[in-house]
Amino acid sequence: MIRLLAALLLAFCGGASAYAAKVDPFAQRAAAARDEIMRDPARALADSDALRRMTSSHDSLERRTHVEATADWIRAEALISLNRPQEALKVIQSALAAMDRSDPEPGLRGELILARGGVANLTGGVEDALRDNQEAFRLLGRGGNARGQAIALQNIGAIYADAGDYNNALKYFGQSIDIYSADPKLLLSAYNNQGNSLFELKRYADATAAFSRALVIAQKTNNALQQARIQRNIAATQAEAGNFVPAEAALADAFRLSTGGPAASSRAALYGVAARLALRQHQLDRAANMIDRAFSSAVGAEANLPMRDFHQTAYEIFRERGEAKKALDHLEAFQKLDDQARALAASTSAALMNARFNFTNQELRINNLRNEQAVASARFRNRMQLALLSATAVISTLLLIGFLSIRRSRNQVRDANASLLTTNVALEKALAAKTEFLATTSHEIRTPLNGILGMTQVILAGRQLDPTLRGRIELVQGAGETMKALVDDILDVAKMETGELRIQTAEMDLKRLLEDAVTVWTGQAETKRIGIEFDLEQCPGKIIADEVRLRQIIFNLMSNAIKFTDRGQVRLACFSEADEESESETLVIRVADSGIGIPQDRVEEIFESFRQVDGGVTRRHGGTGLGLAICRNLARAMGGDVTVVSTLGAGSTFTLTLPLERGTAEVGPADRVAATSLGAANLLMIEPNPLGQGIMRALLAGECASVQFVTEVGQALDALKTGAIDHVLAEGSALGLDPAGAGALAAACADAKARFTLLWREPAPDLLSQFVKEGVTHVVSKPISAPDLLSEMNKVYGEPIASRNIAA
Amino acid sequence: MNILFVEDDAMNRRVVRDMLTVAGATMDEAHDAESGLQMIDERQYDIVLMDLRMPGMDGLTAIKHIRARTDEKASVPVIVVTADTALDICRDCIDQGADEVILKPVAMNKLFDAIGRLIARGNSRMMLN
Repeated sequence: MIRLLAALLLAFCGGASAYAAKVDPFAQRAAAARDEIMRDPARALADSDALRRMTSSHDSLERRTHVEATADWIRAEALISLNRPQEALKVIQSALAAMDRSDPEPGLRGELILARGGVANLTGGVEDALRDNQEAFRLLGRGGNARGQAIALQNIGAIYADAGDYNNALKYFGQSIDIYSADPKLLLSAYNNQGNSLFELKRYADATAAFSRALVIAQKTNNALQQARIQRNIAATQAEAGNFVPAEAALADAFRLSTGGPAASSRAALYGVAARLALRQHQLDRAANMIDRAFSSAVGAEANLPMRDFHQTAYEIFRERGEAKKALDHLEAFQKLDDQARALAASTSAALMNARFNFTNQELRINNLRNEQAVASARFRNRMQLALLSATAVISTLLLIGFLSIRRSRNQVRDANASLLTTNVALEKALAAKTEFLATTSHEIRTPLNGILGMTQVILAGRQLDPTLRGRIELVQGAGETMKALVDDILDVAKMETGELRIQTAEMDLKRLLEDAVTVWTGQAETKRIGIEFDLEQCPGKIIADEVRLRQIIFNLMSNAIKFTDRGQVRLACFSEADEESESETLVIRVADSGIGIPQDRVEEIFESFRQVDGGVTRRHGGTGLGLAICRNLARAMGGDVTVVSTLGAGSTFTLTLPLERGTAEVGPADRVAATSLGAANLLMIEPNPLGQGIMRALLAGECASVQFVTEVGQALDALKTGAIDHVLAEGSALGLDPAGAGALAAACADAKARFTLLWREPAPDLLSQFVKEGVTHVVSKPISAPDLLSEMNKVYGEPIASRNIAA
Repeated sequence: MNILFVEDDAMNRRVVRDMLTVAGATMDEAHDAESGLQMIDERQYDIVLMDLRMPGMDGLTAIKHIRARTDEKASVPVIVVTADTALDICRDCIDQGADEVILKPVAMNKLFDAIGRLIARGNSRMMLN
């Protein structure tokens, strides 16, 4: 059956949305550009460039983001209209990434995601299309854009229709009409879509009623092309229903409407319907004539022709006329197209389910259904080959078998679809229950974890802890942290599925994050006797990104690399790549291992939820199998991606790419000059009390270039060796009553060209003099107010850095 | 320093109590929001830690009650301690008058940083002891 109207209309979602209402020059110009998209996409594309420049430096960040995102959206829609979906996708992704950083506008975000869904539809990404349309529906609802919501619903309906799930498709088309009926073009498309699905369900009377409603709208809008198409649909429906008089009338009207003008190109499809109608009335000569014309005018006509139906009709016509050779040719052509159509429906169905929930058992079920279909068509094909080899004498018999086979294979498809429908309904319920379950479970697991992790932290904070016991407690804590990470992963998946995941960017130290990752995983790697190498030479320092999410991705990739590697090494590298054309930079973080690798045909599967390459591997390597799905989702939410190149048995290389936005420039330790004031100093404080740390962190925030805390003198000595410390502030209790220890610290500070201040509560004069003798020259006594402490600390910058001298 | 923890779960109370012990601090405990409000009535606190989901009155309502007071206790700093990970939970708590939000499982450094920030904010001339 013919589905032509929907795709034409739905690629574009402009409409009288909220943006036009604001009377400002930008909004007016944007509205004009949007209207241009349908008429002249190339011009709309040029307009979007001009629009993007309509910001000034006085504009608020919010305003700039709005202007740029609106311009990007128009650009993307124009690119889609120009059939450049890949470029559109790039524009959409970068616009979405930019919006995440400011106050999100749900309406505009919704439009962008709807456009992305359109791209996914064009490029055959059923899962992405479904997810985006659902997300767009939700966001457009928040933005009060019912028209956009109606488009999203129709898109979802169309996906179901492609999968052969016409009942669900009808549900969505119906909702689309309920939610917004003020746009005649949209309403027409919805009714026509309804008609097509009803036709497939053989509900011919209902289908005719739906097409008639569409026809009324087409007549009102005076659109001959659409009237012709709808009349053709009516004719086809009435022909199948056996109502030949109205069928002939509709067909005649369709022919009348398609003489000349743009509608002429659809005449091939009309001849096809005419042939079918004639065949149904046993007017075989007319039918043969019409089907010939259908095939001859199909050459060079619109691509979206129901060729499969043509061949089926032709086969039946020539069989009736006893022209066996011709009949057989058409039967063969029909079978080929029918196979393709069924494969498409089956893969769309499978993708639909994947998009909703990837439980292995459901997968199995789909595969079983697919296998049933494959067996059925293989049986049929064998029979066909046999037929071709046999003598012409038996052709007529075989034709009959062929005919029955068509029936049978159609019935099998119908049964399979019915079964898929039942599964779909069950899955929808399961999905809702699952999301609820995950949220509750996550909450419930957090409570006992609070006990485990809380107490291990308390125990480990005690300084007089036996080293063996400390090791054991650290193991408990490590296990607890892993468990918490798993719960967080599960919760993230639930959030991703309900579209609740948010990216929050701020300035962060990327280099430090990567160094942390190396430190954390070195221990793990050592126990497996594999090496960790890293190349952070070209790594940007401060960047603007979501630190929590970035850490999650990198830790996941590192954890996987170590998990799946038994010998050799894991390499972490980070660098940036400049794109001169768009003047943008891409951040590249690469984790390469020499592990077991991934078979070439399973490479994409590992990014699906709950998947590892095989169940056996899952059992051997543990984990929820959620990590990579989360990594990819997070990376995409940040405007980037995670990809993999792998050789089985030789290792895998995972690459995270993100749009790079650099933070404020920083001075590396190499070219660091000694700080000349406290405000420029990198401060290290020795403070054993965690609450004291909390208070000092808050008080010192913004007073120094950076502040870090350690709890023991030994840690301070280690930190001084890096040469990145300008000033050490020691809380007296950390030094105990040990003048020699304090002296060693003061000497280490002098060596590292760092200032040293000792903060001490009421020091006894004789002890104090011992400290001074050991080289502790700057002592501030407590209690003291924070501003006074800061001014005391600033005083030492008037003096040269203490040299290593012992007064005695 | 006087700290009050309003929390129905005994284990959670114990965890936070022991964490504060590490820092040399102590706390009072309330098993539910109603008795927590009563204790605020009777005593002077520098910091109130508040769970959200409790039988009877929930934590957000309790915060509303505190903020609706007419005396100076209306501005006591409140830190929400919750296992709720809903998307907008932080914003909701801050909207209702909470000063800080900490997620369970409680990380000790996050707890002390939050307390430290509140102490530092309230007393820029506070004496360091």
